[in-house]
Amino acid sequence: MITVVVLLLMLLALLGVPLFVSLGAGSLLAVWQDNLDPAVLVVEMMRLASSPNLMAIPLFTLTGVVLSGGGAAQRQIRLFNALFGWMPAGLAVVSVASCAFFTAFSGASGVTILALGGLLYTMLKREGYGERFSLGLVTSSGSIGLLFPPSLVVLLYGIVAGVSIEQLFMAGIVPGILLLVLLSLYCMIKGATFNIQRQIFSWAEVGSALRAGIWDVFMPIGIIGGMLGGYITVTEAATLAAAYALLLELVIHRTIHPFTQLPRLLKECAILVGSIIIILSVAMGLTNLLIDIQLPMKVLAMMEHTVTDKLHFLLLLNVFLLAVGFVMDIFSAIVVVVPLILPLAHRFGVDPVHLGIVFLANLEIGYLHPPIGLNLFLASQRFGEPIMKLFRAVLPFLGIMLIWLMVLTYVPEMSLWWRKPG
Amino acid sequence: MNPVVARLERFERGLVLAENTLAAAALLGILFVSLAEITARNFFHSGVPGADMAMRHLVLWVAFLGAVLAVREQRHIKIDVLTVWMPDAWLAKLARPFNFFSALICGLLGWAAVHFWLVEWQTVPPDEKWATVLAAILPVSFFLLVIHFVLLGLIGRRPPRHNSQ
Repeated sequence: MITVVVLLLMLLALLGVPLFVSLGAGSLLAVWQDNLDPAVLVVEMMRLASSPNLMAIPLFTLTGVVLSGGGAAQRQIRLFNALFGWMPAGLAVVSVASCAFFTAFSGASGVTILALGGLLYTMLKREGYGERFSLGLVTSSGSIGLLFPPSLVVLLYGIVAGVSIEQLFMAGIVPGILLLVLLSLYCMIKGATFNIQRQIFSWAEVGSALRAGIWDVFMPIGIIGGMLGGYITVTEAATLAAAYALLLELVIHRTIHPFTQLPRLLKECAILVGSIIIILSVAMGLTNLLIDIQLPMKVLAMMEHTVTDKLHFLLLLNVFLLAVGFVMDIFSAIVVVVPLILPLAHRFGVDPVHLGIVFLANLEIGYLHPPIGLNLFLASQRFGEPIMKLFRAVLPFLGIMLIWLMVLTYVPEMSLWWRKPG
Repeated sequence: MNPVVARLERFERGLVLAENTLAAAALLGILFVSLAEITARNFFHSGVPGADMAMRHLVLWVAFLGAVLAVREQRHIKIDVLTVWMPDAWLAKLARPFNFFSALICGLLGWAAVHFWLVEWQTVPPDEKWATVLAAILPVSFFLLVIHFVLLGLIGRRPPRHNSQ
């Protein structure tokens, strides 16, 4: 009977019932099954409030929403283009860097494609890059940069897994840079086939772009330096970043009107935060109950017959997480899947920080493949192209990202180089 | 437009305005209290009394009111994989029962939240009662979620084609 109800709830979720409702129903079912008071679910929700880093989520989200609404993305593209546009395939490399930079701030909500996609796609086509390459580049660049501070998904993983967020950000730096380098190299090789005229470097344009964008550059320097240097905590960084973003857009650039535009952005921020945290709060009850009935231990007992070592486990984990990426977006996956795989990873000796990077990298790739690759849908809406055409366009980028995933999975030192031996 | 639906939509708009104002105030509240705390700690070597507890509860206000606002905008995270292959007419037919089902689940969770809150209120020390007042956002939000899902069902607004965040 219970199995039938659980399958029915899964079907409802796949048919479009909000995920938090399906998880909430599952949680209620689990407490009734165990003859517990449903108030235990609310205890878990309140326990969420005691998580010291939870406050960083609304504040970093506010930072991203305000910067996005104020046109920081356009200022950034102009600055990067003035500085690096003269290089071979300069504009393509600038696109990769700008998107990574912007995604780190705007979180994994697909804002990058909406905020930068249209502008970059037009610029790339105007310079002579092929349509398929431009579409693929803009669509796949919408999710890179997820491992850089102050990415929302890293914060969420840290909160759910109980792992130091500063350590996760530190661990994401080298894999994140490697992905940028790999994609930029591909852009340079592919760009050479399009016979594009190189931009001329202009000091005047650099000066002008710097005047407009210099204030934006201070923010990541402050956040990354402050947090990774141990000068400020994650929540302090989030507070200062939000205050700085408001100062930038309301006072310095005056791109956001405090009475006509700011309320809309605050609402947007609340919706983004609410749609994530409510899943987190209802799922905590369910996942704790699953852990109470020792589901991960039962899976572990089954796996121990077939999985012999850490590498074997990591390979299976990659296959599993890529499959998760087929049906779940990154936020839901973190909340639902992380608590279940943590004990398994621990058993096979996978470091929880390394696991976080592997987990997020897998889900980052999930943005690009059907059936629910979010970036494919957003790009399809934004550029008016069919999903399958976009999927074909992102295939080379997807291939590069899969190679990158293999490297960072099997070379943990890439993520954990900063850790002292022993 | 059907006059009943028009009235429901007016009621919904009023509700959203109030929720929006509260969520925005809570968000700015977190920012200001946190800035005050950082300033007090770094320049005066002290803290703002109750700031930590207040901020943690304000996060719940932003999050749960945000979740309430997400219902009207139909922006809750879904893993609606199967809808990709479904015709629009089927989606439209499923929307109403799904909204009423969502209202039912939120109602049950809200009922549990009321029980929890009442026990808290009776057992918490007097100097922490203010935090319990702030924690009332949990039961209140679940009942607001019920109202919004019922309104969505009654108004019959169609879900967007794909809406994973």
